[in-house]
Amino acid sequence: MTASPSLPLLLRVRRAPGALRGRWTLVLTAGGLVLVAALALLAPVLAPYPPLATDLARTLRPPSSAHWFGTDELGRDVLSRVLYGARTGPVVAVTVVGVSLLVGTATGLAAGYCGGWTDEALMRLTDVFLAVPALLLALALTTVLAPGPAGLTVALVVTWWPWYARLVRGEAASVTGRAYIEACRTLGLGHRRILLRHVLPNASTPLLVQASTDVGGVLLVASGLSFLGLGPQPPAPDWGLMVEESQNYFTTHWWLGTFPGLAIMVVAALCFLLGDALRDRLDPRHTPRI
Amino acid sequence: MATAADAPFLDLRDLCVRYGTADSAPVVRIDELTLSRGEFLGLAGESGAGKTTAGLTVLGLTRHTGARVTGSIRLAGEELVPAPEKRLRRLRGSVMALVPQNPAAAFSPVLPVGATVLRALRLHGCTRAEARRRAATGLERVGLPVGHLSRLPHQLSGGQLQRVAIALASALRTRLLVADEPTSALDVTVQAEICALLAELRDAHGTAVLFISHDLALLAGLCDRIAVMHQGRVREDRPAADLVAAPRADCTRRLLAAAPRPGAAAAPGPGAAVAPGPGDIAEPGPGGGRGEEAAGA
Amino acid sequence: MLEARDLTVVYGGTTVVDRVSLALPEGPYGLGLIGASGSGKTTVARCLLGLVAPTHGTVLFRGADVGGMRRPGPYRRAVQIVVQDTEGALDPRMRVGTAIAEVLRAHRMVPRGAERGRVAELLADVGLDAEHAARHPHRLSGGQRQRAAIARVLALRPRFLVLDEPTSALDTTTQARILGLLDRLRTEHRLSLLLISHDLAVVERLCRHLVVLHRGRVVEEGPLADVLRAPRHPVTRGLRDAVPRLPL
Repeated sequence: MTASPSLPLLLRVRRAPGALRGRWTLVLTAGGLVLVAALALLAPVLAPYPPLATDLARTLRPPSSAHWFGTDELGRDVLSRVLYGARTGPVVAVTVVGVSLLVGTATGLAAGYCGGWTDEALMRLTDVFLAVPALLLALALTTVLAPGPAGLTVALVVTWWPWYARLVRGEAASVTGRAYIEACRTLGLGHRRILLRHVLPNASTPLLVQASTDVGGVLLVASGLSFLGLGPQPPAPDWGLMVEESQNYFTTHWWLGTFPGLAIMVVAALCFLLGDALRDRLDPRHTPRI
Repeated sequence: MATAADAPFLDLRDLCVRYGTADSAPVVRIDELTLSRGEFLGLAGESGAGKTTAGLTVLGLTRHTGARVTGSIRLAGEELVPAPEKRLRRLRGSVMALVPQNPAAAFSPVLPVGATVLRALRLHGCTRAEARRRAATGLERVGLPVGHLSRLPHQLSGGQLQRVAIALASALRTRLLVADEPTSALDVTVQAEICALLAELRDAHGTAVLFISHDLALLAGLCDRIAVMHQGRVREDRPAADLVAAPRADCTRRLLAAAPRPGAAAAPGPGAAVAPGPGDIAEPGPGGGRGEEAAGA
Repeated sequence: MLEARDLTVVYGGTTVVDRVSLALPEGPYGLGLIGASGSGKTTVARCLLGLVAPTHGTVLFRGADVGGMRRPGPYRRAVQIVVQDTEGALDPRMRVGTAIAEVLRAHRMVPRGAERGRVAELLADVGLDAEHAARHPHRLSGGQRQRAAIARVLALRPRFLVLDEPTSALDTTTQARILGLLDRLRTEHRLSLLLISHDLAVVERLCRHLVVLHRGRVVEEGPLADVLRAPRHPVTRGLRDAVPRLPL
């Protein structure tokens, strides 16, 4: 008696794409983001025109061989501006996430590992920060500081780090309760060593996933704030700002808003996909069998 | 082929379970293993011997894990290996059921255990009133108050949850019960109670029980027959008393040496009371894994 | 001598441990602490390790109260615990060798650079190969993981070893091997063992003295053989009779 061959075959066909998809998403999204970084770095070399050079003889030209993405109302080359734009929005996003990650992780680790009174105090502090509306703070900061990427970054960090603190605190608290952390204590290892070598690595998977997804999220929010005029100021080449400036022309000159908008979308999507792919790779339940 | 009347209730022939490709080494390779109605069969073996895989394969539960099953599993004359999943799902619960190692994982943590029990009964064609009545009788039989049905799983102890699982099997009038180390997570005192319940269930309904365990002493006191597995194969399959009194296979001897004997405590050696046994020899490789079994087979 | 005197632990109004006293003399020695789940065994262990501060009563290490110790280093090193494997006493992300070396380094047990050799020695002592040092815990079998956990604890050259259900997650053959290992280590390292279990079959392989715990109280204690021959308390009798034994 032999089993019907269709069953194992079916299983194999159904399983294979999942495994492959995970690996390829990771490679492709990471590759895409590296490409974006390269474009930003090489913007001065790659851009066909200076991003701020106006040419009033050639305003609002549709895409052509001379201007691939067309020109704007001041005759500036949209492609060059989009390329240079990769130097503000994404940089703001990465900085915000990086700093939030540092501050949030430190706070969350301390709260989750120490527990008790420390935990209570630190978490109430993060609650206070969570209650701050990002938009209002950005408005306030741009009136105090000069409006620009710096103020935007500070405003976003202030409102973003508490989320990391909460995430890390939860993970750290659950890891701290595990037997191997208790074993480290009974073996007399120092707190710093336990925190950095045992708690942090075991709490880090959701953190990395969250961070890569958040770069996309912060980029969207930062672009939104730029759109409202709270970020880089004209004539700076910033994607959010470019979308805002294209508003009056949107129905008649589609290329002005479409290309910076697409840039935001592609980079944000890459970040989200990378987050998903990382989750699949790093989740212990997905570790490849030996 | 024999008629249904004299054929064994469960009949495994040339059963092979593989993971990976069709030519990989089988994790389970059983040439012949049978179980009659009302029989209590112990399936013994060290971890990684393939006993759990064999038990779950009978229930069709290894399919989801990507196992390739070949050979024949006949339950009351019906061939199960190529049977469609839908048919197996109908059989599980009504005809055959699993008593899991970890009962806490078998109940939804957010539902009262009664909800799980009633749903299972309703799925197998009971009316609402009938389901309630049967659940109550089942619980009574395992010695739990009916009120326990409205408790959440974490409000019951491991032993109580295991009783509810058995009550469910009893309410479903299951005819084949696969008990996968049902007591290894429990205290010895609770273990004795659970085993007594399973024996009662067998006596009351003529349920056939496949009891998987690594503890030969436990099986010896419980089973009519014991099959000992090693590296995926059944090495010895004899009446329990014979097997314990005169083991033939090496793996049986090893298991016996590890089992407690009466009077072992009465005469502790000097300094320590270590029973003569396999002593302090090195462990086999990563256990509980298919890799090890596959490599050994 | 490691001694618990009148230990009482109250958690949120419930008395988990009620006036428990027991003593572990210097090794080699074996004391069995037995009771059903929920009898307070693990809480007693955690008190002895200093992980739980008793509500009343004291834990004395060589005569000194561990609660108010100024220099707890010697006590910390001398009293160690091995828990059930399912609890995962080894960091899943750390190689076994690294985990052992880290303990050696933290207590400066060996000169710098000598850690690798000492790790290999410790692994050999528990019946593992030096090759196992490079593995992560999930690449070891349950028995091997338990051996690795024991090696890590031995790195500190402890005098008292609390074994909290050390073999409950293992099959009977592996269980017998680990108990055999513990017995050998006890003699070689002159260890004093406190073996906590619900299973008399396990306890009787390593211990000659027995303490029976029931609902946080000591209900019976004495030489193991005497207690088993004529148990005075029904709980002891239940635990004794529940152990499945081979017919002979």
